[in-house]
Amino acid sequence: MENELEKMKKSMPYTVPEGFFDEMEKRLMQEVATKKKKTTGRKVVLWTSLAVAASLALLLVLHQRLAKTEEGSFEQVEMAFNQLSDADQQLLLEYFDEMYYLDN
Amino acid sequence: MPTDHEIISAMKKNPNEGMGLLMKAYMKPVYWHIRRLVVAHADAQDAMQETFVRVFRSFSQYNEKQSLTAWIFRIATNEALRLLGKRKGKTELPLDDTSEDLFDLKADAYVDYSDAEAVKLQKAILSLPAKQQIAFNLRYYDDLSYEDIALVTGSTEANVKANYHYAKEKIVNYLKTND
Repeated sequence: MENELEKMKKSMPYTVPEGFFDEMEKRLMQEVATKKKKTTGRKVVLWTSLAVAASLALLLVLHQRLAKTEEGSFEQVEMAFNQLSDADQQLLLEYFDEMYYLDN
Repeated sequence: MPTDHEIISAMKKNPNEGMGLLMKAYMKPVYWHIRRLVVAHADAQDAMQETFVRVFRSFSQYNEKQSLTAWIFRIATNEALRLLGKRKGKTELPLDDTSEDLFDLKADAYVDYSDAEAVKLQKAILSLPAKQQIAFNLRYYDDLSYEDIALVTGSTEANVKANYHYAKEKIVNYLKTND
């Protein structure tokens, strides 16, 4: 019976639709090309956002030293955020979105 | 067919081109490996797609000291087990799971039921626990070494050999008793 198992070697009842593997190869190549573009895009946003985040941190430190207002309140962060340009604010928000995406 | 060495070099130089070579060499074996575990064509297609996307995304984590075949088949096996686990409402199917309803040659448009011998052999394989199925399939159909199968299953060579021999024995008995 073991010999019979050897004789049956690689026999399978499974089939695939005609042209399935060619079609899948095309689809998968498109998919990985898209993934690559998305990853590259994310890296650009990430680095730009990190630069903006660093600027914000610096802004906060300077703001605290110059204004000498009450320590570490949320209002200070909000004020510093408001001093950023719309584009920088947007980038910073995208950065936090991105960090959330990478963590999950 | 491109060699593993050619695939690895191409993946490093130009990932898109490398993926083309990798798929040429591995798409069919990976599909059939997944298909033998999940049975339905549509499920195998989904798991294969996910496998190659993961291979592409995580290629930087591949350790060149290990076999590329084992690394790719490990990802494919995990995808198949994840899919089977979903059917049971779990994240991933444990390797020792023996639920009969999971491994069944259910009606599928892409199964040739007229090939009675092949159907019987698949039913015999599907009656085994997942770890025995994987060890048997990778050795019998894909001619993988015990060492590579151990890497795929995260087990030892001795364990894989034992699983393969148990599987073979059970299949032979199944074929005898279901004549």
